[in-house]
Parts: sequence; C-alpha cells; structure tokens
Amino acid sequence: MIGIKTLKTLIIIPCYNERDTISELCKEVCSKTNHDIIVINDCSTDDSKSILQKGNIPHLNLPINLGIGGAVQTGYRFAIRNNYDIAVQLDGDGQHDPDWIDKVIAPIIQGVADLTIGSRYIDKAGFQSTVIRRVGIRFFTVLIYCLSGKKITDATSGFRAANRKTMQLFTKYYAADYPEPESNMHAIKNKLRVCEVPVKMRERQGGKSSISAIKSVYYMLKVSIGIIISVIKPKVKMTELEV
Amino acid sequence: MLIGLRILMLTVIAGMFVFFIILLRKQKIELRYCLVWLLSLVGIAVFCIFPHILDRLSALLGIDTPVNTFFLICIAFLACICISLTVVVSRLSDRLRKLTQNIAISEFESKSNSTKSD
Repeated sequence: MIGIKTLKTLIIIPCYNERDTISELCKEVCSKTNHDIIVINDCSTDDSKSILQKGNIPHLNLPINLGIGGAVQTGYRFAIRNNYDIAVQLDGDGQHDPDWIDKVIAPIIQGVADLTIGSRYIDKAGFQSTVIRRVGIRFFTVLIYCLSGKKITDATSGFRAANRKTMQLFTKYYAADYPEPESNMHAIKNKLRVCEVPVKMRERQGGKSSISAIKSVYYMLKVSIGIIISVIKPKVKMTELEV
Repeated sequence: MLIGLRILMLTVIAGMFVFFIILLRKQKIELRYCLVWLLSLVGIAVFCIFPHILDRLSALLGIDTPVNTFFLICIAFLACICISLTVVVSRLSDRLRKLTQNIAISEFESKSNSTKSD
C-alpha cells in the first residue's frame, strides 16, 4: 500500500467558457479527492479566468484558443513536466462525477492498464445521452472493433486516466478537435493497454455541447477518418518520446 | 498554340518572376516557400517557348487542342503549390500549438515560483 500512496495524480480539467460550473466543479473535486488539479483555461471569452483567479484554483491560461484537444494536451505536457504518474481528464461542464475518479484510476494504479476510459455504457446507468449520439458512439465502437479487435463501448468519453507512457504518447500527437475516439485508437495501435471502467455520468450542468447539429456530419467524418489514419500511421517509438 | 497567347503568357510569367524577385529582395517572402512558385513559372515558360513539346504531349494524351494541355499543366502546377502550402500551414499550426502550451506552462511556473519566494 505504501507504494500506491506515492503515485502522484493530476486531474486535468479543460475549460472554455464554463463560468457557471467551473468553480463548483473544482470545489467538488477537491472535497471528494485529495489529488492535485489543474484547470486549462483555453482562452475563454467569458470571465472564467477571473473566477479561477479569485477561487485560487491552479490554472494555466492559454494565450490562444487551441480547442479541447490542445487544452487537454497542455495538461498532459504539464503533468509530465511536473513528474505526475497519473493524469485524469475531466470535462469542465460537470458531466463527469468526481466520485468515480478513484475507480477510473484503479486499473492504472494496479498496473494492469496504460489508459482507462470511463464508460457510461457498461452498466448502462446514469445519463445515457440522446439516441442519435448513442448511434454515433455505437458506430465508433464497431469501427474500432473492426480495425483493432478491441471493444470500446464509449470511445467519445472525455473521462479518462493515463499513466506516464500514455501521457508521453499524447504529448507527441493529439488531435486538435474531437480527439478522444482517435486517441483511443492511437493508443491501441501503439500497443498500450486500454481498458474501460463503468462510470455514471450526469447531464451537463452548464454550457453546451461542442457538437451542434450542423457540425455532427463534419464530426462523424473527421473522427472516422482520424481513426482509420491512426491505424495506418507508423508506430511511435517510445524511445523518441520526450517533452 | 497561337503566337499571341505565347507572348502574353511569357509576359505574364516574366512579370510574376520580377514580382517574386522584388518580394524576395524586400524579404516579404521566404525563399523556400517561393521556390515552388519559381519552379512552376519556369516549367510553364518552357512550354511557351517550345510549343512543339506541347503538340507532342497533346497527341500522346489524345487532347485535340494543345492549349488545353497547357491549361492542364498549369492546373497541375497550381495544385502542387496548394499542397505545399497546406503542408506549411499544418506545420505552422502544430508549432503554434506547442508554443502556446509551453507559454502557458512557463507562465504558471514563473508565477508559482514568485509566490514561493515572497
């Protein structure tokens, strides 16, 4: 147990215009866990920045808006620079219940996984999203299964935990927008052990989804091509990895 | 190809060539990004100066009017330029992303260092 205690864990929370939820969420995370947190303020146009400052919440301010992928990648970069062993990413809109953090990192602490995905479709409990989204997510499950033989029930989940190896892979390459399904495939392709953990998600408490109706066609196309490209990409040499 | 069109094209190419040289002299563009332009211009000029190459090529490709072959070649050169620009833009956005991330992290580190020393 002593060995487990020494693992340093960082919780990465990307934040873009989340003024209504961000401070509550950080308080909740801090009260429910004793891990460090870092909020990545992705050049928010509302007063998220001053809320973070006033709340004395550790945060990074990106001088240019990079999108969710660039923001999360900043968190991974920061985690590696500061010698964290595990990084957990949590959406800034409060969809992900901090109660489940310890469950999501458990396989990594036990050393049986390099990347864990919090899936709402294993126990089918909690918020399940709309029918049309579920169809889309199911499509990615099938696509990833066909290409890798690995079953990922919730490839779009942004509730994930990574060990150092995975963090290094993600700092090397991470898609700029809608990165999760592609990065899961990228990790599988690079022989990382990916596993899913059942979690309950909540309905978003504020903000709106980054995926509107018009964008959904672009989304499906972009993510599908991204997944296919990750299969034919050359494997990243782990010796090349550094920050 | 008609002699009129040839003269017109050569004039335009010469004009563009001079324009690029001026831009290079003023350091408004980087040589490595305008090389693909200069090479394309030279390529198109060759076809204007030696139109019988164009006639041969047209016959080979089964194109009735050599001027269409000429346009096809011009489009091919433009496509090459566009592709090279896409590569450059992608590389720039990748670098910008890395730079932005490192600035944010450095800012945080310098801030936390200054509060520590206070």
